[in-house]
Amino acid sequence: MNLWTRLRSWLRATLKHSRMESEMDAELRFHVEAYAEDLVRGGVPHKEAMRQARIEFGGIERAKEECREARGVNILESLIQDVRYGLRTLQKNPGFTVVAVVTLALGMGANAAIFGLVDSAFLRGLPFREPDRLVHIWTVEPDHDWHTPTPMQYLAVRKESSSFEQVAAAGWADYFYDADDSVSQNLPGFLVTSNWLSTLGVQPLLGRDFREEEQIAGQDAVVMLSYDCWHTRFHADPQVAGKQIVLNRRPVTVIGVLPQSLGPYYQELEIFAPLVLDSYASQGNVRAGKMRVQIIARLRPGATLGQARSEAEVIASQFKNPGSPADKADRFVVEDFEEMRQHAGPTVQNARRGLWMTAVAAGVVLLIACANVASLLLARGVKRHREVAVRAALGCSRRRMIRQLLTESALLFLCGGSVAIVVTRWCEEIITKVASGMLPGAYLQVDTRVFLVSLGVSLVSALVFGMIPALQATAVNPIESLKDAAPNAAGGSHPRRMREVLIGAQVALGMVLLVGFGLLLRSFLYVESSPMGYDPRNVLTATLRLPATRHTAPSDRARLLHEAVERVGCMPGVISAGITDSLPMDGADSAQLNIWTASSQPAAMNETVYFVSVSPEYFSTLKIPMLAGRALRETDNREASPVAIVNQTFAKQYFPGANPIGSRIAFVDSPAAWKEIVGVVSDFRQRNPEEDLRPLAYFPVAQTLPGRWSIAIRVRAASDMGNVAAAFGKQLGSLDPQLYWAMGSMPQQIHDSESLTLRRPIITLLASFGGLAMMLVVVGVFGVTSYSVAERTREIGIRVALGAARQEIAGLVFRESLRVAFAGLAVGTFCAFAITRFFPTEGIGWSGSGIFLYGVSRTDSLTYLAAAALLTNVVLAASWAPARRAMHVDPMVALRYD
Amino acid sequence: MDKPLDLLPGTLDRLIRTAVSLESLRAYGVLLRIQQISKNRLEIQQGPLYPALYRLDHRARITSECDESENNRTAKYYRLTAAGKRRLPTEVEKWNRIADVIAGIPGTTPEEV
Repeated sequence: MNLWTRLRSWLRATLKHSRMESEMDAELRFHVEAYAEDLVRGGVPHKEAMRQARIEFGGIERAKEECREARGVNILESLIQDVRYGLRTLQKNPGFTVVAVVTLALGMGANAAIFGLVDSAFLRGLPFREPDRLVHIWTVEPDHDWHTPTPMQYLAVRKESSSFEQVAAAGWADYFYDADDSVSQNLPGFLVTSNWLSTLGVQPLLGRDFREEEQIAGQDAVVMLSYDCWHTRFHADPQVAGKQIVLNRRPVTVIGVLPQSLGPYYQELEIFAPLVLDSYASQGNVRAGKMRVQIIARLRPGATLGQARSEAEVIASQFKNPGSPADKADRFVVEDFEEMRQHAGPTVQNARRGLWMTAVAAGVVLLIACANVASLLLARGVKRHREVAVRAALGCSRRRMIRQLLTESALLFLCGGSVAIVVTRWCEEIITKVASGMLPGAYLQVDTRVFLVSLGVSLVSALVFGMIPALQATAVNPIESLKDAAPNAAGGSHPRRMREVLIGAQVALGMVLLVGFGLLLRSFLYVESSPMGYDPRNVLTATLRLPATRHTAPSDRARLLHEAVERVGCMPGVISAGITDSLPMDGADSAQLNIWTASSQPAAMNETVYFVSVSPEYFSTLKIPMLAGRALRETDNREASPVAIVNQTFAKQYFPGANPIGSRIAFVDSPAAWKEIVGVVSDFRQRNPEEDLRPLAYFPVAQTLPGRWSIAIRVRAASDMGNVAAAFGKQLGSLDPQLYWAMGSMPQQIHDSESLTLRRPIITLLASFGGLAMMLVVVGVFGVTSYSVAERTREIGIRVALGAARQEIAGLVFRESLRVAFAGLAVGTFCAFAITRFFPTEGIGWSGSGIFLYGVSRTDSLTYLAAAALLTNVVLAASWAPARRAMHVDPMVALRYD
Repeated sequence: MDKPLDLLPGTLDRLIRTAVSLESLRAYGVLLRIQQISKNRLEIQQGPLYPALYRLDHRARITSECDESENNRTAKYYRLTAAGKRRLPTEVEKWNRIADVIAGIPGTTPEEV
């Protein structure tokens, strides 16, 4: 039979419903009458014949129902019926409905939020026009590493390639924004060519794109804001385009705001300004001694990646022996955006870890909520088994009843889902705020995707978790149930066991969640209190940048550095001050170094080493002890021979068992300019509190003369911090009124370290999920225990009448709850063991930051015990009220109870 | 008379189609016709007859139309559809094969197996 005939029959049945009903009526009536007439002809009296005809026909209503079903009439009609009936039942039990809907809303809301975040960060397609035509271009330098290219290389690609429609470049810059008169904030910026946005195929959210002439020096006083920057610093002012703001002491005009969807791809960047290639060196960040720009390009329609790659090969060949050694490149790498997404950097990998962990936690919360509602439905199913029995006796098939019960639970779950969506929509901003610490730029937006996924989750969980109570409730022998006038005497052991399983499952899931949270919390506390190797207390910091056009001569820079330390050091309340180009927790640049050791003489070892520039007072200001050799001196300046200090790990790794003092190191780029190692300093954390220590070299600032540096200032007492910070501006202002800087402190540095910033949102999210789970367990245990006490009222009454003490009755209730709880805890412990196997125990990235277990093992007994104790107490507390009710059962009332 | 036989599954559908293949009938007529052609040897439950009729109608094996009955009231008459008629010979053949097999089963002796 084909689909069409079925459909036609079904349509006809649905549309001509009333005619069909009357036809069926007439047909059946005729049948009975005709049969009766036949019987009358056989000599049976008329009345008796009618009776006999009806008996022989069997259930007329049942036959009708089966006819309707045979036609497929029922699908729509019975659905409407079921929905109507379901709504009525839910309305009649407002207490149950509210508890169930709130429970489900909590579980589903958590999931909708996490899905939204995961979606924005990883699942959604790239937010660019035809992203498959977008590529990145990298250069491979003599050290065989991939690097971002130089401006010269960018110009060459733009001029000589023919397979690209557009080629754009971008570089990094620092901006200092004067929020109020006194406080300035350091905003990371991106300098982009005027075709950068159009290459990506992105429209500004507000305002306009850059114009070509704005790439010329002097006409570049325009900026665009990232969505986050616009939101947090400009209060999402819709009139922001056209406003003047002061960045780096220079008035600039805001011309537009970028869309939120760019956030995950250009993390942390707040200011977008035109890239002026002529002055990029002074305008932007020069990284590791080289100017670098990121190149993106859009393939011409029809051009392939292969064509672009072979073309890049040709262009790269001219950089084998370029005019300037900085532009030297072996080859270019052309990589499409999708590839780049798969080779995610450490930040994204860490965020992925964190988000998957919270996604699992959210799933666990949802499971708890569903188990909770299923146990409530089960309890109610038992109450309704008389109703079910009556319907079964009237000819309602079991399938039909299951369908009706499932419709009812679907309604419940859909209500929960809708409430969840509404609440998640309200919490969008706060969730985005928490999560953006983990992955800058990730955001939550309740859109159709989030909505559809939540709808799907509601329906699937309604089906799965509604099925158990529906099967249980309809497994009724109508005759037995109708005869049994007092179902509350026994209640049936099967449904009760099922309820206990569901409660036990909730406890087990709660255990998994609490153990996971506990392990991460303990790791967080260990990280926070891990020894840094320096004393961060009472240390103020200020990060400065020199104005682009001033202090360009090395002697000027050297004098400025010297005077800054001098002046700050003399301020009242200050013990000492030291300068560095990279404060602890800011990380460090790395480069290839030649190291000449006693064993490798005369050839040098070639190692990638991190390096930092510091002033002589820096180590003493942070109370970092020297272990060997001498400290840096004022005399280690541009005129003196270059020197270096190395840390303990450096000495251990490259000079095992030997004294490094007197040995030499040099950058691979300029092997002739070697520096002598004059001292060894104690190890301290440069990037993250829990990092694995790396070899580090320290050079005197007076010899490296960085364009951006920070001052660490040790003050006498915590109470001096405010005064010194206020007076600091005056001192620096008199040095050069055009300097700009951002103030901070060492404790703040640690607080803002990458690893703590990553861990904090995870802890917050898991803590709130843990709290939700506890609440749900309380509701579940309370509901089921109360129900079971009500069910056993008569039994309790008999016990009391036979002389059981009140305490014994309460003990009975508590014992029952604890039995279930302990079973759940046992299973939960096992599951937690299994799941924490997936917890990472090592960080990602060059100094091992991220979310992993630190200082605590997967099987940390304290965490397991604390989680178990907490859950046991939660279960006991939830059983308290039902136990009290059981204690006060009046045997007279209970025994009469029917 | 012997005790009437219970129906094998699928038999009722077969019987209905045979009944309405001869002439269009009312539902009650179908019942009488089946009793007639089975020479009262089959027990036809009256209730389940109707769902079976509706099911066959739904699957377009048989069709129904309203017509004047003997006492000038409109009544529903069932008849075989064109598709149903086309399939009749093959179905009869299939039925006979099954009937053959079933008839052979009880007489099976150990030697034959």
